[in-house]
Amino acid sequence: MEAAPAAIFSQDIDSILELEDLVPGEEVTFRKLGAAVSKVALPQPAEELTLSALLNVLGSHAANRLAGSLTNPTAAGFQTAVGEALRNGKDQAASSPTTPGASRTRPRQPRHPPRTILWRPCSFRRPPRAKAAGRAAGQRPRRTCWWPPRPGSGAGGEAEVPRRRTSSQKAAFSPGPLRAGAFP
Amino acid sequence: MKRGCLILPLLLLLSLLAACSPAAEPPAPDGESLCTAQALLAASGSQTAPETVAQVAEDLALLKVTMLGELVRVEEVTQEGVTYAIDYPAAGVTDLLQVAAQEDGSTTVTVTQGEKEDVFEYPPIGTVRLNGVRLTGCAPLDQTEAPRGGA
Repeated sequence: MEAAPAAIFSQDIDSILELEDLVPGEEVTFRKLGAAVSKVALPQPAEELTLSALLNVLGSHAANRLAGSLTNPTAAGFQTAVGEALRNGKDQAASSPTTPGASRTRPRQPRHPPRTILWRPCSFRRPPRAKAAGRAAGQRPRRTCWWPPRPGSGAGGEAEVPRRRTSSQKAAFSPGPLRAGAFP
Repeated sequence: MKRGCLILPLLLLLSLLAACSPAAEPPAPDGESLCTAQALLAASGSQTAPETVAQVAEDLALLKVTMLGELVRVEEVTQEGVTYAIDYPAAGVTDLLQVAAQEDGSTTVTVTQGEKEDVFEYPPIGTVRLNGVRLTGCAPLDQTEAPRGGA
């Protein structure tokens, strides 16, 4: 049985545009676009639309979700990643000895391009080791920002439990503007 | 003094109207678009006359509001305009695209795949239309105000 165009497209889009269900402040990767897909109202059944129209609607929607969920608009990065993924797919198809039609039934290749992290703000999570150490010491887990220890700070890679700052320390602390790529 | 009080709000109103009116002129292609246009034309083996390069660069600038701008290749250059193509290797199909800037400042992108034809309309301000139907949760990519939390 020949797959319907929407199914073919979903195979394509599956490897191209998967997007994680986004929560502000979480790491963003291109996974599970399916969750976003169902929320777009298409004017016609997917089978009646061209693949480019579907890609544009679903991709724009996903990119706008990204831009809406995060403070930093990342639509351009998303678009680039989509283009790159499509080009990779094209290269794979060109190097494959199978005809274009045969690609519909061939076993699925290992897919998922390298995870692209667009934005990594404060994750509000401490590493598991710090959590475990805190529990062992009888401390309650706190929702607090955690930054990896700076090299040369004496932490030696061990996670520290952040301590509350005094008012004088708070006055001296000036975090500066938050920007993408400021975190390792 | 009274005349000044009348003229100042009038000038403010006029400047506001001028700022809000849709830009009838298509966006001028930037240097990056020109370079991309040259590369696309070279890859397709088409003529690289300055007018053609400028046309392709203008089309690419118009396509920036869509997801498709980075995926197209030049299929054909004719007197009527440039036809672009996007290949979908997994599906074994190729879509053909045509881009046009309308007089009211909107952009029309026509996609053809065999007998299927879809028309996107991107107004200068407002919601995108696909085949005349308003799309919810889908806005031009370069709009700064993106919808929050999905459709």
